[in-house]
Amino acid sequence: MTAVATPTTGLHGDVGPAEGGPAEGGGDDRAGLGPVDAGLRSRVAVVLTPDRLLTAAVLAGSLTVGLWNVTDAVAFQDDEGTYAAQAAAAAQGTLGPYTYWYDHPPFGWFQIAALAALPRALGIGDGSELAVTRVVAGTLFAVTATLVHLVLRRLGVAAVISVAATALLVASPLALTLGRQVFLDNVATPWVLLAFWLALSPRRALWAHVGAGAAFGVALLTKLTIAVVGPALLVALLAGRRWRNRGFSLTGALTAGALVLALFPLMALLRSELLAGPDRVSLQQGLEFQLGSRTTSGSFWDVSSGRHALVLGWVDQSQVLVVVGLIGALLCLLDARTRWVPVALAGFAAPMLLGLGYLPGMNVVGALSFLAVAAGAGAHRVWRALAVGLDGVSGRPRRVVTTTIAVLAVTAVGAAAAPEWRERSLPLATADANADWRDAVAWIGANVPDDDVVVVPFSAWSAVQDQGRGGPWTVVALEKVDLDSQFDVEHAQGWREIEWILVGPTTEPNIVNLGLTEMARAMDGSTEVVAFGEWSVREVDTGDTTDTTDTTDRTEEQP
Amino acid sequence: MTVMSVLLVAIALLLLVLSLSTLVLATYAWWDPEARATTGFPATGGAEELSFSILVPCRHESEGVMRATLAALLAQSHRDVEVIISVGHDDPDTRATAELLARERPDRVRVSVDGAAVKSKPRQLNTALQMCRGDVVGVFDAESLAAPELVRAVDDVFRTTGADAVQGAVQLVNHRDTWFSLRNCLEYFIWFSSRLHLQERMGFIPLGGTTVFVRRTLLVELGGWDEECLAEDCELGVRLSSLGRRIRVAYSPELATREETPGDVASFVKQRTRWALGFFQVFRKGVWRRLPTRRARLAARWTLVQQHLVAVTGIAVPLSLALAIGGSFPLPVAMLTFLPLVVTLATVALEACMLRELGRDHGLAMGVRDYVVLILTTIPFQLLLAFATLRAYGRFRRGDLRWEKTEHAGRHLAPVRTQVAA
Repeated sequence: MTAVATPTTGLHGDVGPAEGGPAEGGGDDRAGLGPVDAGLRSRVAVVLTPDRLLTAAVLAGSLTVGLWNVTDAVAFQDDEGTYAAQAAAAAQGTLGPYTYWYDHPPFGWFQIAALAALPRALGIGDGSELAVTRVVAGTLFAVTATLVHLVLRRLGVAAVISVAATALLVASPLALTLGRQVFLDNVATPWVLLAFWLALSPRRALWAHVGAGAAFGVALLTKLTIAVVGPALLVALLAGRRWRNRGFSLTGALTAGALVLALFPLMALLRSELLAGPDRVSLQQGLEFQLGSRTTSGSFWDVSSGRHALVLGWVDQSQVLVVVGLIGALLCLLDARTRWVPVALAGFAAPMLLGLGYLPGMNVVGALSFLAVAAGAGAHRVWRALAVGLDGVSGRPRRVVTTTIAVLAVTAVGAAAAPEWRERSLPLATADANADWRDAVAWIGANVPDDDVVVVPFSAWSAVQDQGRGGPWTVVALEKVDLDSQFDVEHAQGWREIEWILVGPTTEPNIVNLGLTEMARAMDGSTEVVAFGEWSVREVDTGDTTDTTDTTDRTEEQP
Repeated sequence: MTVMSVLLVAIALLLLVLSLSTLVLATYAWWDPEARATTGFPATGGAEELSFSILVPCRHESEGVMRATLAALLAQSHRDVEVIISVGHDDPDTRATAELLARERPDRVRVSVDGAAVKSKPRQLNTALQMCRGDVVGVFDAESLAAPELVRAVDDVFRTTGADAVQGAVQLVNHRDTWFSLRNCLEYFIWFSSRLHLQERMGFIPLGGTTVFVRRTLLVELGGWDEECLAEDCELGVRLSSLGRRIRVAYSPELATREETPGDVASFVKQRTRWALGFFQVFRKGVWRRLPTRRARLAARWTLVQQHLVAVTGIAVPLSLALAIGGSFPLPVAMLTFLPLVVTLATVALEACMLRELGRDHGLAMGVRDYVVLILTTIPFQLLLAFATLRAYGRFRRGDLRWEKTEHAGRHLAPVRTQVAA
């Protein structure tokens, strides 16, 4: 019994307007109600606690921001197109339009497919596959923000500070761009935050800890790289606390996580694709590619490297969140109950600062929510220190001092953040980053016959496909020409069977970086027909005389 | 293939439900840190307000085993405890031992001789019940070693909770004697420290055969034990529960009664067959249908029949897995088949934690070897239970309800000799 009663020496302070533990508390005084409606009103009061209402408000606010212009705020990326296409394929019962090659576990796009069903049924978005999945991403952005708030509340952080920290995340330019795109990281992050929320359960119930392990397992199944916060989850579960069933909780969490994760190799095993072999894709190969043979981004400490530029670019885009978050993380070190926050951030930072392999452009997105948690927990720590400093003061003078300091702090952070909010965040509300993309896709719809073979970047794949064309080998995603052996089966003549190429901003870099030799030849043998900003359409000189309906249109532009 | 897929999915889901409910029942005491606090004896230091008559039914027992059991009962810190050794008239050796022991402590020990032509434990108990004078009647197996403070603590439970019956804990302690001893010990630990408490919450307690206490007037009013039943202890629990009587379960490691596991596979199977058969009998008798709540009836159905089905259906897990790997089923179907295995693996992991706690609670050494044995015996032990269940079911269908007694070698005595001597 004595082992149970070790109160957390952490942040459970005695300051702050809506101070107090978890949402389950909420026992407001209901004396004085009339006997007739007292029952109903008390039931309503039990369900609608102030904490829950606040959480609902955070969700509603972040959902509004999340969905605002979510389709066109940022240009569609190839990765987004890939996941949207794979989600659509998953809804039809396959793992993707092309040969699935274990680049990621497929459970991420299974989830996108499941979540996309609702906006699709409601007709939200402009009807294209990418727009629908962007709505999913915008919703997940709001779920992430709400979970950041809930995790902070579980740490005992005052409601005002928690909401402010969440707002810092929601308003940050980096979260508003990368955080609302269809990336697997954005699907995994809510699961990770849920895992931490459960691990920090004040009751320390076994099911909560088993649930934390399972949620983390699902996060891993969504995006394997999220494993970098695994140590932090263990620290959150165990640090500074001893209780009766600790061994059970630890075993339960680890077992649940491992068993959920095991579904991935199990799937490979059942498809007979666990280990590498001739003429087949395999889990082994997929992992080897991700871990080893991708193009390196160089070392962070080499100022001319891609990694250096990428990391500094991130910091530059959301300076305030990064700076406030890192200061908060240092303050979190002071308290056993929050020490997991800097551990998690260190987990995210390790591949950025110490790694040498490939660093994906969206890699930072998971770290943003942890920066917000660090900012909130750190601010609460300062707030508490302040309360201790004002120990002798009470009543009106105390309120004046605390209010002044709070207003000053909010103003200072707001003033620092104002420029980036004004210059980067606000324009996203009205931006139309996909105008050229739309024009190029529309041009193909109007001018290219349905059964012509078109190579497109993955970001435009679903949109061109949805024009009623003949499947993944008529509208071919750029890299599949070289990397999916099925291409040669479908097109015996190789690149010569390609008739059109839709060129986007990533086409040329991808041909170089992925070493797409067949595609390079197709590019060489083609001529630009029309251009829309960074987008253009090229026609391949196939050598033979295929008579198509719009020959006049094409020959006009050829030299 | 579609029919086979549907069948495979149905079997997988059934196995999943069964394995999950087994897991939930087994882990109840660890659901949250407070759960364990509610399962113990009240910590009031014990009291001596009630008088106790303890029945010890014996049949073909050695003097050593009986003497140790009696010594533990007479060493109770509670002073108002009398012991009645119950023997059969056709068992002269045991009777002689009993009378010898009674002569040594004539003030507190008496002998009841059952003269019925057909022998059974409930008949012996009912005969002995007539001699009882205490407010509470307790039952101890011939090889049960009671903890010295037990009766005081039980007195306390009766007094503070107004219970009609109290079930104390029993723990097997010879975990290294045979390959199945470890799992057998763990089973008892889970049963008394966790599972019974959830059953108490659900309103259905199958009482055990030892360390069980009932108010005498109530027991007499009910007509004692069911003489035709092979699981007369469980049957009494069902009757009490269905009458809405309050049964309390209390577990504290230091108050657990120590017993031994059966000495070999044959006697283990015999014991399990008898239990399963007894449970089937209680199920058929149907008193459980009068239990007041749905939850209680569900718990009864589970305890009396389903847990035995689980033992048998467990065999289906490897079969369905082999089918899933070998056959060419759609991927989701094949993956679904593995879900019961996932739950089973999680159960084994948590059992390892329980084993550690068992060792700590009862002062049993648990080394790497024991954890390895735990994992390795998972399937064989399951097979043993399945075999006993099938055997019981066969005998149940044939109406063969003969008594197969478990022999007691006294292996539980060695590790606690000092306590007995005290």
